[in-house]
Amino acid sequence: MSRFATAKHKRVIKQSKGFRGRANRCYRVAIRRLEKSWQYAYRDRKVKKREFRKLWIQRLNAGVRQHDVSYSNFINMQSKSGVLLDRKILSGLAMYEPFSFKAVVDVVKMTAAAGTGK
Amino acid sequence: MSFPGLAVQRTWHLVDAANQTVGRLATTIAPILRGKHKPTFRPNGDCGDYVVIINADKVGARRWHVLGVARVGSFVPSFLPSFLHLKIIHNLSFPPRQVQLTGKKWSDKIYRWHTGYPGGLKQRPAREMLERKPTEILRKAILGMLYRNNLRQSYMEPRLKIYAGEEHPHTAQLPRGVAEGVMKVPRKRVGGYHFGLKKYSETPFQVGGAKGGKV
Repeated sequence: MSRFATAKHKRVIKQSKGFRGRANRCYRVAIRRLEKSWQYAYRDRKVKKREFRKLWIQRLNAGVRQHDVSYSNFINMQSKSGVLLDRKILSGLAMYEPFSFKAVVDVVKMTAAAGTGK
Repeated sequence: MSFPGLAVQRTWHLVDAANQTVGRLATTIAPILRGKHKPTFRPNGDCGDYVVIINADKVGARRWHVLGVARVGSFVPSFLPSFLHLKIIHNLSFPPRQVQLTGKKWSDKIYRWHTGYPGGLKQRPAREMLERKPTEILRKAILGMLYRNNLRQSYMEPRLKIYAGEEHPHTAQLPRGVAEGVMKVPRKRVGGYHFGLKKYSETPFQVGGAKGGKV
């Protein structure tokens, strides 16, 4: 094995840390798993954005239901209310700042009530 | 499976299953076990609550009598003799009996399982399940609505406590003064869990000087 091949192999195996079985030790198995992992990474960079939005929505749903409204109605009211906070920020508020979140929910509800009252 | 770094607060919920429909009750309980009613929900970490269900054998009964089955909206002539006991949905108030399965599910719903041995397919209709293991009806319904992942068996399943009668050994864990009973209208899933903020949602929101609307 020439030293160039060894260097190349070492570089590959170094990237395959944590893989299952012989893929973290042997070059031939590792290179295949690595290429697959690169494919997954490419795909999941796009999926990550979807997954997080899903999580924000689930959390928003839970948080908003504590204030007597459902997620669907809340989003409807929020889009008409001029509150520009997005789901990421709103779900963060719901998790860690419950009183600020309640304030936002109240504003949204008020503008909705005012809008329909007119 | 990662564990939440911050301490997860788990509360105990008490549910009275008498006169509730099995599936609709399970729909409200399964998210609690998973923790989806909390804004701090994490799908990868176990963040659900404990649920204690009592009166699981008294899950309400709309039972179609053997003699006659009246479908919803069907016309029932008034001259029928009273001993026929035709039960019509939406009309009568039944003596509360057991966990509710609508339609003919008491006789037609069959629980099946395989023991692993050849020829070991066993089955049992819901009626018999109620006699032998009344808690299993609700348990199967609820667990069937949970995710089939690693969290389920080790964490969510042990947190579901079902008892057939009124007594349960968890009075020490339940919050004091907990009002018994889950929401009587199972579909209404908003506003049930306030985690202490309810007194704030009752006060009207004041916008500096302007008259605040009722929230």
